[in-house]
Amino acid sequence: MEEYLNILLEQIQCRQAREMVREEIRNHILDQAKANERDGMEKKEALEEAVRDMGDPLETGAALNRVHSPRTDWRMLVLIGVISILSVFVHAGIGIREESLGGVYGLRHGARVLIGYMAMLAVYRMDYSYIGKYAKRIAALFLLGAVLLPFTGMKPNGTTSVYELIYLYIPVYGALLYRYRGNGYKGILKCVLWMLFPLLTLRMNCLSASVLLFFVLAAMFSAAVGKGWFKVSKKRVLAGFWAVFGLLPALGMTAAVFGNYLATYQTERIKACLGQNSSYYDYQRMQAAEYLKGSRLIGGSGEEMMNLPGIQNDYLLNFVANYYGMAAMLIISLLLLAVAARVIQVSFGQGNPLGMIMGSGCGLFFEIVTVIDILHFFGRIPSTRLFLPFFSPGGSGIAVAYVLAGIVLSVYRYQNIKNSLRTDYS
Amino acid sequence: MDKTLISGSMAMLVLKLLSEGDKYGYEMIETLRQRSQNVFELKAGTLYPLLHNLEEKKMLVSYEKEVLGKVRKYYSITKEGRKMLASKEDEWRKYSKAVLHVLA
Repeated sequence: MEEYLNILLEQIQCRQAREMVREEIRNHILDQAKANERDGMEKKEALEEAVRDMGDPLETGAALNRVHSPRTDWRMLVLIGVISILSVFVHAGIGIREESLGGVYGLRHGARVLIGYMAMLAVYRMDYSYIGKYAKRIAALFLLGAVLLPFTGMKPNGTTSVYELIYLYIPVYGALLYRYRGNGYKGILKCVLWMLFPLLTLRMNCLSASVLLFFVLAAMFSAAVGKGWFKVSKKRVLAGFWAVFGLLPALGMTAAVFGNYLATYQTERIKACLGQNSSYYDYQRMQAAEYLKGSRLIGGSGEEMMNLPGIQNDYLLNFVANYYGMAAMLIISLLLLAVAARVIQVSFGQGNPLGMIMGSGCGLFFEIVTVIDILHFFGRIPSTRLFLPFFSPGGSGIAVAYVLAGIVLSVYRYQNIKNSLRTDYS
Repeated sequence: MDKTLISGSMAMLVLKLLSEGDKYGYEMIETLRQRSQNVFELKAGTLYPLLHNLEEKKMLVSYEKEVLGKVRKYYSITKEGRKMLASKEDEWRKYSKAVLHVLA
């Protein structure tokens, strides 16, 4: 029997699928052998007959391998590949145009994108269920990092900041939600406590990033509650949660703005967001809208873009439109929205709830940052210092985008072997 | 009996069995053997790839359950599975009727 099983399992490439198949087939052979014994066969003969009954192990193994082979999401790999190439071109353009950035600017960005793409491939090969297994430990590391970082003397703001890494908490939080499944109100309480992570990152001076992160986590939490993961009254929990956590930050923010608790620029930005007059950021916003008028469909407008700080960040799309034309900006925006849509499609299209919650959190994140950057482009909202995935310079922003994409690719990869992925963790 | 004739309809038969209640692999083979009066000798080597394939297409879901000290993998038909079964049954009835007409 073992010989039969070994030949069969050798045909299955995916290590994770083998154990599941072994158990099932072994049970079947033993059942059949027992039935043969009842029919009057000798013990040894009964087992041999049962194995013979199974048919050709090569054929069966190959057929099972076809079902359980890991899948590669070529569409996403190509999509992100195209985006990466465009990203390198865009920054090469910026490097040429803005001499103050130094000659290596474009090259450095190219190298970062290349490393990012390779990191994505590495993450994609990884079995994402490990994030589920070690969710609490990984989350604890994030907490520790957020607490310690302000003491390391690292510059919290600017393009080289590490604060963008906080978005990597999104899939980890998905794994935490999964781990607390079925734990009732106790689980809910723990999930809400883990959701307070963005409060810690506020100290890193990245208000908009923390608000965005909190919003994504809150949406993931609501999805988990809505799916009945905690076996509690969905309506009561959701209403209570949003009443407390939707209203409190809004009230707190208003108090902070009018009580002058925040740095001046933060107050100004929030005021501008709320439609209040804020001389500096309103100027920036109008300037962006002004450049938009001068842009042509294809090709540069020839107009110098000045007085628009953050050309590499918030107003990257404006630069693209100004330098390469509106068509280029549209293509980039559409490609990024396509990535977000694909991520969400993959997340919902496969059966493992752990993969679903982790992936849809990533998808929501891609969706929101892209939309925000498009709004910047049209001068609808003032600078937020959020990054455009795959495009904004800065190692940590690039790392975040590629790692999150890699995790979604891994979810896709293992969708057909979900039963063998050890996600019960009992 | 001709092999291709059986394998094409095997998915339908498996879905039919499961529409009557959750079963594990060996149980399905036994039931099929009895009901078809030994005409269908479904090999286990064909059954498991078929089951896993149907599960991937979300026609079935599986779960593990301990029965008499043994962990068994049970299969259960889904809503989509029932839909597919209905359309396959319909197709089969039309087809077999047509065959009978020709033979008559």
